[in-house]
Amino acid sequence: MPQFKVKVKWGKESYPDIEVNTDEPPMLFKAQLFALTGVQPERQKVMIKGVTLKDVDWDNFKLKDGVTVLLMGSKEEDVPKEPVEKTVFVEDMNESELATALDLPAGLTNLGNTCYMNATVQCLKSVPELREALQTYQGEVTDAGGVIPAQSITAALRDLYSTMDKGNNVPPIVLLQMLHMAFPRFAEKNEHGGFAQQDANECWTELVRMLQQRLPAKLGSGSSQEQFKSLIDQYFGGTFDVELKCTETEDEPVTKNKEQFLQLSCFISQDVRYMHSGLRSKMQEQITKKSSILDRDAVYIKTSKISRLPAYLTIQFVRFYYKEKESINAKILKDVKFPMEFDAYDLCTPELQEKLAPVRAKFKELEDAQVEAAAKDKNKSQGDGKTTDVEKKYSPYWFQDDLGSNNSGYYTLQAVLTHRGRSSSSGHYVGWVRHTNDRWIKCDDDNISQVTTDDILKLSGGGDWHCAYVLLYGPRMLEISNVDTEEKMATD
Amino acid sequence: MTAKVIRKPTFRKDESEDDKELQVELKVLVERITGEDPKLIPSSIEMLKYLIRTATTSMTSVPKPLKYLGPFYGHLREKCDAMSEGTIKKNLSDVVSVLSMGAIETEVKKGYDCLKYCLQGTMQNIGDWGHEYIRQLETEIVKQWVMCDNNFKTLHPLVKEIMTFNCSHHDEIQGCDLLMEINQMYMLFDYVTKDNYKPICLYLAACAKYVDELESKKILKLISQFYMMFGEYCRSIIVAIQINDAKLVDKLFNTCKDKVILYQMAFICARHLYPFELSVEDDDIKSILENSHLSHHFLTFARELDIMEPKAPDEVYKTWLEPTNLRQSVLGEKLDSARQNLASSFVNGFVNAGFGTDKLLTTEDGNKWIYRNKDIGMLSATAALGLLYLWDVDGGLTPIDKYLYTTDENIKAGALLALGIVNCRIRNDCDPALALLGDYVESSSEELQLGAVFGIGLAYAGSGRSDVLSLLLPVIQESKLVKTLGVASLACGLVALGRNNSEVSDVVLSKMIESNGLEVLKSPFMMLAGFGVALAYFGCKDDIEVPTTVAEVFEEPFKTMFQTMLQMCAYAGSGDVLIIQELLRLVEEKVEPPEEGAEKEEAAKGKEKKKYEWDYYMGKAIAVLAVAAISKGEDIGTEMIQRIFGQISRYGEPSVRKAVPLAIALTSISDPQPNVINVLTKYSHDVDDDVACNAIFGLGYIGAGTNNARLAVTLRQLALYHAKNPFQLFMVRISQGLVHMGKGTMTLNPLHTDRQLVDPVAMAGILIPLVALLKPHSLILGRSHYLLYSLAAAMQPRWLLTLDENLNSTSVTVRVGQAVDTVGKAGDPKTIAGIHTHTTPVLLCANERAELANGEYEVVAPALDGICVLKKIPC
Repeated sequence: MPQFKVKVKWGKESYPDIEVNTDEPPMLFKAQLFALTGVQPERQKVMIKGVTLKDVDWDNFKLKDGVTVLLMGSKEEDVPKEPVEKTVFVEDMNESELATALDLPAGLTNLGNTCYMNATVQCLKSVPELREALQTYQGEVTDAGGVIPAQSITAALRDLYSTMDKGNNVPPIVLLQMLHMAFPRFAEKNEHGGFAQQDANECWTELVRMLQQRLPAKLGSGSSQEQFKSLIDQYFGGTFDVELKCTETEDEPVTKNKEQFLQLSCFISQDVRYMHSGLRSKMQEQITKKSSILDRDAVYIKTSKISRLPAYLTIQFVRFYYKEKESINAKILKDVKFPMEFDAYDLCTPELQEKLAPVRAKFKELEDAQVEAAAKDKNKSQGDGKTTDVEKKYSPYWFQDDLGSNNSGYYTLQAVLTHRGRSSSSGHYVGWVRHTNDRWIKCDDDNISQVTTDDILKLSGGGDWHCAYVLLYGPRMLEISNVDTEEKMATD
Repeated sequence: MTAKVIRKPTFRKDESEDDKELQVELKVLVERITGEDPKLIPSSIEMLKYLIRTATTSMTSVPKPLKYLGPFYGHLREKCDAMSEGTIKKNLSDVVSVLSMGAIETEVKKGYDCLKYCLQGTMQNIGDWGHEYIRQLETEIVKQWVMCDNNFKTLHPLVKEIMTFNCSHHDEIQGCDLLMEINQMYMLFDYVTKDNYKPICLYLAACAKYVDELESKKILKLISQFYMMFGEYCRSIIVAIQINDAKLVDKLFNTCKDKVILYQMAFICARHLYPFELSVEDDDIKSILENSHLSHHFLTFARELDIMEPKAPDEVYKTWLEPTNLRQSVLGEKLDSARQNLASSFVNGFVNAGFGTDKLLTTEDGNKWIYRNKDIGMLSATAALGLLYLWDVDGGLTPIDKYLYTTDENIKAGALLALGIVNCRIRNDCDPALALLGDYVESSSEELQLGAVFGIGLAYAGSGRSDVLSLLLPVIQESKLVKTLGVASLACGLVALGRNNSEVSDVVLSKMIESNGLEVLKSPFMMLAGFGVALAYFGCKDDIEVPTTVAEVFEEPFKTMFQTMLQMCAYAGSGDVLIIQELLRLVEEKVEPPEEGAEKEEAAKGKEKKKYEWDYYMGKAIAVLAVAAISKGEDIGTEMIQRIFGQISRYGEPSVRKAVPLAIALTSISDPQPNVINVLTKYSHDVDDDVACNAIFGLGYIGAGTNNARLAVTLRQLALYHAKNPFQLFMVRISQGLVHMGKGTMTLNPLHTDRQLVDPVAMAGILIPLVALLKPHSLILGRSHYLLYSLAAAMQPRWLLTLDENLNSTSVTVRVGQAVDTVGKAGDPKTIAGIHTHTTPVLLCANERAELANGEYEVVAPALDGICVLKKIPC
């Protein structure tokens, strides 16, 4: 008798008393099951005692009354498809591909105690305007007999940056040679015959000085521009308004003059715990000099106020002092905290402060808006995240009439040069460069790795760990507020 | 005339008046006995007997009459010998027999006087002479038994007499000893009673460990029968399973009428994955034996513990506690480390095993995750689905089904393997695994075949089904690739586990012999093939002679390797000291790798780097593993070898050292003892990468399914330490996954039911990765990581689940504590220490035991672990 009653089990469900007629093709049974379960017949697997039902006949399928038949198959049509974009595996890549994929900058090979230069080069590389200017620079590296060190160094730096952009670790041979040629003191050898360690800040200032001579200022759109000879002055140079006032006589008029600077120095004394106070201490100091009126040495108070803030503010920690006894540059290990966001407002002249005010107000506004948006966002559901890819727009950070200046007084830390060791001519220099918001890159010669903001803040000194020596602050960008960007900030 | 020789008793000064009197009296009696007057003799003998019997004694001193009669022993014996047959002689023989205990002369001992005269004597009421006399008789019987042939007839009545005495004097143990010595164990049947069977069985069970194979089987069978006689079916079945006596098990199921006990027996069998078909009709019992309840119970258990929420691998690694450079946050959708993703796939599978949900594969874009693995990695990533739906044959097949429709061979193969894993340890009437995977076994695609074959191996592990084997064996016969041969052989070994199936070994061995002397024999897969054969002989003990002889044809070192593997499997879990010693000798022996071959190979190596090299120490490495595997289940041995391992690792060759952390892990699987953690942590920083890698894996093994916090911290530190080494990091991840297996609810321990039974399937499951890790880089760390899925065969919940008479889960209060032999006050013995009170279901750690806290229920199982059926006590 070809008529059977079976029990069909499908997943957790079971359908008792299904009638099967083995005279009819199995497809009919499958159609019957389709009606019950909704599983397409071609995706049905009907099993009994270790065999599956064939589509054509019942030959191998031994049915009995009351047996349990297992049905397997899913209703959904979806077949796992390969994603369009293939996953790239780290294991398949070579070193340079990996670096590009990870978006890590190239490292610089240490050519024998040249970490001071490597670190400097890496830090300066974080200034986009400088990179741009270098790219347009036409000069060539002059040969051995080269008389023009400034040109050679500028060209060498340009070439070095462009090779580094290709992603591989680079030995900065040419630049080093040029540097040695221009400044023979850097070529000094130690007792083992290798190059001796040098002071990175010295290297920094010399490099910047060389660039200063060669890179022309960028022309802004504004008409009434202050004229700068060089890009370096434009973007790195600031101006102090210096007042000199004699304390011992009221007769002598206050002398006022302007001073240019490329670096601010943060002096470290007993009571300096924060960078800000270190900077302030230098801004007002007492000096003794000969007074023309009194015709003797008198004490003067020298007050410096910044009247122009450059886009890129270099701050040097005066950590090294010359110890005569041991004739070395000894280091102050003291912990001096520096902020990720630096506000130079109270170092400025009142006039400048006034000029800064409007942009500062905008910053304040934006912050308030963000806080509000964040609060709102807690109630609302999250944005669909599509807006995240929208390019952020920033308003210019410079004054209309002064390209390369800072119009808010707000700065963001963008590179740190650290030193580890006990004197400037020993130890190890490392450059730390901000990559994106919270990601930093540690450029330890050819060893490039990722670190976080927390790690950067740990560089404030106070121990034998790397401690910050030169800081490079860039301008804090003001986002142009529109709906998209606000939402973006909120979803972040 | 003899009387003249008798000396006058010499009184010592410190002797009391009573003693002097006794001495005189005794002397008179002896004189009368030895005297000529026949009338006086019987009464004197009676008198003497009376004096000896009534003499009280302390533990330390000889009874006075015996002491004083010592000097007269010779005379009495002579007299006795000289007497003609009759009652008087018999009576005197009794006396001589007793006195022989006190005799000093050595010839008395040699001549077995005690026994000799006892047999000559009345043979009545021998117990009246006291325990000491019985002991003496026993000793002499044992000595005599071996020497004479017709002793049975003569000694049997006496033995009976002694046994009666022993059993009526709470001295059954002594009686057992006697019967064991003279190999007359069956006699015990007459003497076990309701009151004494417990100590007798316990004692015999303890003895069985220290006698040879045949003997111990006999003893265990006896124990099982005793338990059965007194209605202790559960204990009986445990012993019956130990000796693998199918008839007995079947008989137990058919004799027992109590439903609850039947259920409990079925649960014990199910936990052991007892493979034989039982002739039971009851549907409930059948479904218990099929293990089909496992998934349902496990999920209920998980809900009870509130751990249903799936866990992502990152939550297991606790990446937020790792320093950021390790985290590689840049790796996004498009850029991945295949190795780390593979590890995550495994971890995901292990951690969410049996729960049916996870955060990678069963989510909406689960397919994407699979594609974030590389070629063969996709196989393992898909197969992780099998772990997720582990044991859930009803609900788990459908979600895996869709992956069978992909075009990618690796994913398809992974789905096949997953189907096999789902069915692991579960039997289903419809045989879905066979039905689904059977079609792919002959597949021309290497991956599909691999997935199907290994899947079938896992699904039918321990079943011994011939229809499954007949499907797999042709694969071996036709295998062209050594990889297929290796994996198929493993699968066959799993299916035919311990069946001593000559067909399997014939087929695999003949295939292996074909490649003897060829380069291919050096492949690590050949080692797996050999291990597959060894698995077929699991627990067969002495039956491995045939394959061992066959193995002689292989060249060294494969020969030693294979023979050692056979030994390892055949004796695994038996605790056989002799085999352990033999293996340890093998480890100590010096192996000289042949010199001339080395240079040639060097030249060849230059040309073709892929060729495998012989590792002449591999046999020793396997021996190390074998020692651990064999000692498993025997506590003292396990403890001893842990010390020996230290020695081996200090002086062993590199490949032997590789095996040491694995072996240590094996001795303490799913049981993270602090000292073992320390040892393995030390090895995990070893300069030899392979040793470190195996030690890391070992850490995972010892903590498998325990959620042990200390191990978790150790492994996180190791992740940091090995951050630069992708292989080591992979292992750390796997181990982290193992430690959190089943979110801490599982165990890999093959010992179950109060550590009395060794589950062979679980043992095989944990041995496969260990053997594979002897060559880590060519197998687990290479392209054969799917071998790790053999752990599915060993995974079990480490729970105590209580069911009522209708098999519904009930909650009762239990006390859980460290398992000990006995503690507590006299009269109130306890088997657990350091008690916590919980409500079932509870998690049990290794070496923990539970007992019911209140008298509401009665438990029929000998120990509260696993699933227990409770009987309500009528109030």
